[in-house]
Amino acid sequence: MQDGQVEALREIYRRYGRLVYTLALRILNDAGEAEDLTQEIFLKVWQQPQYDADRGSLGTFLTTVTRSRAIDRLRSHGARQRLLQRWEVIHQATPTANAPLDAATVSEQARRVRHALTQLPPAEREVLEIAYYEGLSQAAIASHLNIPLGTVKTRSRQALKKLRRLLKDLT
Amino acid sequence: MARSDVSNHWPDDWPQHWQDLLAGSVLDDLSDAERAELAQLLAAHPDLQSAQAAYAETWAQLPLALPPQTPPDRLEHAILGQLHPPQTTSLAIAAPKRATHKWLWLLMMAGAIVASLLLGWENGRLRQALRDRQQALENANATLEQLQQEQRQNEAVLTTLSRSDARIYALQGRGNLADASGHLVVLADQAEAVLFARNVPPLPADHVYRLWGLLPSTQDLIYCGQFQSRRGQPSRWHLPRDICQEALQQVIITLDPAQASTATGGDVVMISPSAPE
Repeated sequence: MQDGQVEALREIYRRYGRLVYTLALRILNDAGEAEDLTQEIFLKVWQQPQYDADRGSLGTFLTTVTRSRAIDRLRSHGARQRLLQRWEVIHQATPTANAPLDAATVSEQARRVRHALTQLPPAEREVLEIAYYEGLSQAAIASHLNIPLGTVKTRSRQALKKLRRLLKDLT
Repeated sequence: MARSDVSNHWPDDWPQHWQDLLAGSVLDDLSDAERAELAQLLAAHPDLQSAQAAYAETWAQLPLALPPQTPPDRLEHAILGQLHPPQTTSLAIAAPKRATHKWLWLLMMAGAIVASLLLGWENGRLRQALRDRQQALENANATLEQLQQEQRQNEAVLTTLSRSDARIYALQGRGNLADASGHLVVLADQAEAVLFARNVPPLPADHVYRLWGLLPSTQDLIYCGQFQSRRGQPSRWHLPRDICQEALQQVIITLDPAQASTATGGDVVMISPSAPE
């Protein structure tokens, strides 16, 4: 590979590596697995480029691919019950959007997303985050939260619509 | 860059719940009817696809809210090192492939264990096969030895029977040796008797077989020596009296205590017809 190409991948990694690793770690809850997946994502994207700039940003593409692969790994590693158990542990440990953050390392975009999430009713946000980070079906979420399936569907759609409205100038 | 926003103003022919359909498509929770309705809507209004993409972008921005985690420095080297295969041998680059190497290591270990089991099984099988072959060889050698011994006996019989001075008596078992049979050969010039017999078992040391001859002239039964039987071999003994070398009307073999007097005989175990063959 030419040095120029190596430098290009280095730049992409330095721009999105932290985001991909953070997401992988959040879903997999294992630093080694997160490193392994991050490496896989960047190498696969580089070696088999499927990114289409017309369909969205590279960051969106990378987070979408990372989420999909991480959830695939979770599903291949254990039963759905394990996902539910993990959710209980992680959900209690995850800081809220009001947790102190290092402002110097947080982008404006990230700040906007966190702020938007704080605007959601906790019940809607909970459903949305379970769906995103755990990859559970809505039926599984309904079972886990002991609420009707229709309620899960309504809450998750309402939450996403509100987020879309709050973040419409970012996309 | 923000996409064109239709969330506040949309064509009159769009259904009121079009945003629900788009959100549902991103969340992948559409019912079959909703999925069909959205497909129709997108086909009729291609510009709605950008709104759908905007929902997908919003959905994909969720992880931006996560507290950022800094990956280890070695990860960058590992990724870039993969682009330079020779450099992937360094320890620092190989480390992030921990999970992959772990599986490789486990696979190699599993393979080694399976190979060891297979080798152990094969080794055991070969050892058993070798033991079987050795046993078969020992059996064959024993059979060969037996055949050679029988051959030597037959040659001895032929040699003995070919002598012109030999007298031959056929014998048949009686009593405890009812199954016994054989031939007695008397070599006159050597004052020796040879018994070729079957089913005449060896005796304990305190017992002997004794040969008796019936003289045709006097009808006296005379003692003609004693012997021990050896399995598979002819019995040879010296004839104590010259008269035993003469033509006898009948020969008898008895079973006697070794210390018993030769004035009388014990139980008859073999007997010949009344005249020599």
